[in-house]
Amino acid sequence: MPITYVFKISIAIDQIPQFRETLEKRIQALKPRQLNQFQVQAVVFQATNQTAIHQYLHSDYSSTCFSLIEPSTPQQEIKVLTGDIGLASLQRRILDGEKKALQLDLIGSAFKLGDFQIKIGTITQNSSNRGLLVEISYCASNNNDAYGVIIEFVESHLGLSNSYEMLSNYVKRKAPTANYTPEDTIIQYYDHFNSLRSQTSQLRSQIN
Amino acid sequence: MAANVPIVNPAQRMAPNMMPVQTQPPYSQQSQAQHQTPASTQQQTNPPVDPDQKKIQDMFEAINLIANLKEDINTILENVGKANSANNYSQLLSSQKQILEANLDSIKSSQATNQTSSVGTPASVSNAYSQNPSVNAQNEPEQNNLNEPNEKQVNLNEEEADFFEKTDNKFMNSKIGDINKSLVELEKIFKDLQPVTILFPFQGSTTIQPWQADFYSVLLEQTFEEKTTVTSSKMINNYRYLTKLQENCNLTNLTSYKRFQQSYAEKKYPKYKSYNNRLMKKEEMEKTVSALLGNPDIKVVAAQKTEHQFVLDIIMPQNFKFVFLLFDLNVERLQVRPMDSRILKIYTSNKPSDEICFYDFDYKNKSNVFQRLEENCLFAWVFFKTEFGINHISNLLKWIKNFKDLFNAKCSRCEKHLLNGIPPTWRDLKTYEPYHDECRIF
Repeated sequence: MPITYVFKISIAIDQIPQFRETLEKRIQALKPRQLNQFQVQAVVFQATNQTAIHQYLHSDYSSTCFSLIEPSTPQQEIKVLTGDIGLASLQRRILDGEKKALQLDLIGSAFKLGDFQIKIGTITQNSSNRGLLVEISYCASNNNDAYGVIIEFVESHLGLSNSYEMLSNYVKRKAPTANYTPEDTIIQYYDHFNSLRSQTSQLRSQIN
Repeated sequence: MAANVPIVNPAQRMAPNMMPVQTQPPYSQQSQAQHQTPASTQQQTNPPVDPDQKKIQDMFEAINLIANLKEDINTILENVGKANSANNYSQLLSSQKQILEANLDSIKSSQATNQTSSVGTPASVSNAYSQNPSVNAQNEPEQNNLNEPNEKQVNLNEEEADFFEKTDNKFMNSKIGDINKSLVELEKIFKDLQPVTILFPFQGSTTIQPWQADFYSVLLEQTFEEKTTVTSSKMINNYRYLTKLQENCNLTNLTSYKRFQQSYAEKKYPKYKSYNNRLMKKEEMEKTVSALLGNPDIKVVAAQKTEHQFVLDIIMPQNFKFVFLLFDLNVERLQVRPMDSRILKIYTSNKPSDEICFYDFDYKNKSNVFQRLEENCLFAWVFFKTEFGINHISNLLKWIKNFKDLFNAKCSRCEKHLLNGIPPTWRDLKTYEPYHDECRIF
């Protein structure tokens, strides 16, 4: 499996569509091979005892469903449950009636440039922009050792200077020789979505 | 005799003066002769003789004494076992009985043929033989001839009777005393002997060549002389010195010295050790390759397809592997491939390597990095094969070992990871520094 890093670009909500266009232009100047649209869907089921169940669907892994339980403390390890696509429908049927589920969608364009795969997408909640994410995967390596290569690619081709801060804490903590699995991408998405949710809740509390 | 023969050997000339070596002497005579030997020599060597001749005479005396001693010892050894054994008596008695029975039978037969009365004495037995009708007509000397075997039998009986006297302890002790005396005499003679004089073959007539002079001076530790006296101990010491020199030369590993000691056969048929150390099993292959790499993180798996053909996988920690097609440690083909995490699990579960290790001839790498790396490996393989010949695999493995930081290393020239989307896939052939393909200098 290729190693992937998900970068969250901290930018004002108004400037998101403009900035996304500029990024796409920069990559298309290198004449990449354009891939199909990619999509990530996250559904959060809030239970009565404050522990939430997250469900993730990724277009790269079309026939699998990832689900994880929110840890009570941030230091606890996150464990992801991988299952068939039937698991997603089951979860929705059971937990639909209790409370209205929170849904986040990420839709964007994908390119291939050499050994790199670049995906740029915006997070939407109820058809309103929330944030901008860039996912970069390096096909040759399966190892966390290729961190430097990806960082350099981001800095040189996308023109993003402070790339280290854009990464999630999970990647920063990972050992350099650890092998990469698709669950790692899901955890990165979970981290970024969580931070966005907290931001929105803070904003709402400030307004109210 | 001396006048007829012009050249007389001193040994032959002295022979009549010496005591003759007796063949199978009786014991009583032998002991007397041994006592007489010193007296006889003293009497006969009264006139002045040359010192050389005297020495030779002494030597012959010693040889004679030794011959006598040998015979004595042999007889003692033969008789010692027989002396005290009861079986010996019974054997002798039985033999005597047989003789008597034979006599009686002959008498009976004679009585049956000729009805004449005769007395059972040995003399009558002889008459009985002579009384045959055919023999009676013949003359007396023929009768004597017929009597001879009977006389011999009588002699044998007498000898056997003497045997018991001789095997007594007193007699044996006296014999041993005689032997000791003669041994003491021998020692005296050997002490009187002087060192041997060496006469060189090239006395005066032949010119002394330089190499001969050198050789003898080394051996005898002296400058060349016509006559030199050398004891055996000096000779041995000199010989030992020469052998020690040779041993030290062998220990030094100096080829210039060794070359002179090599025989012709060794030069003609030199040994090629690389051919002899052929690896027969895949376990040996794995061991040697892992020893050459010297890194515990790098896994080595081998599979033996035929007697000579191997497929060797070198799995790097970065989840890619080098695949070699080998023919007795000669690299035939080379490939770089990415690894799946699933295949890694198979390796860890100890499946037989013949199922996993295989060489795809129609495989093309999807990623640019490995495609470029494979090409570079082929370049390096060609270089090492031309440089080092048969033993190129060790150098190739040393070079390949440096790709453990393929995605982590920066180019030593441009100091960047990426160039055209590819990390540095070239290592210098001698310094092992990472370079991009475009950055390296040929």
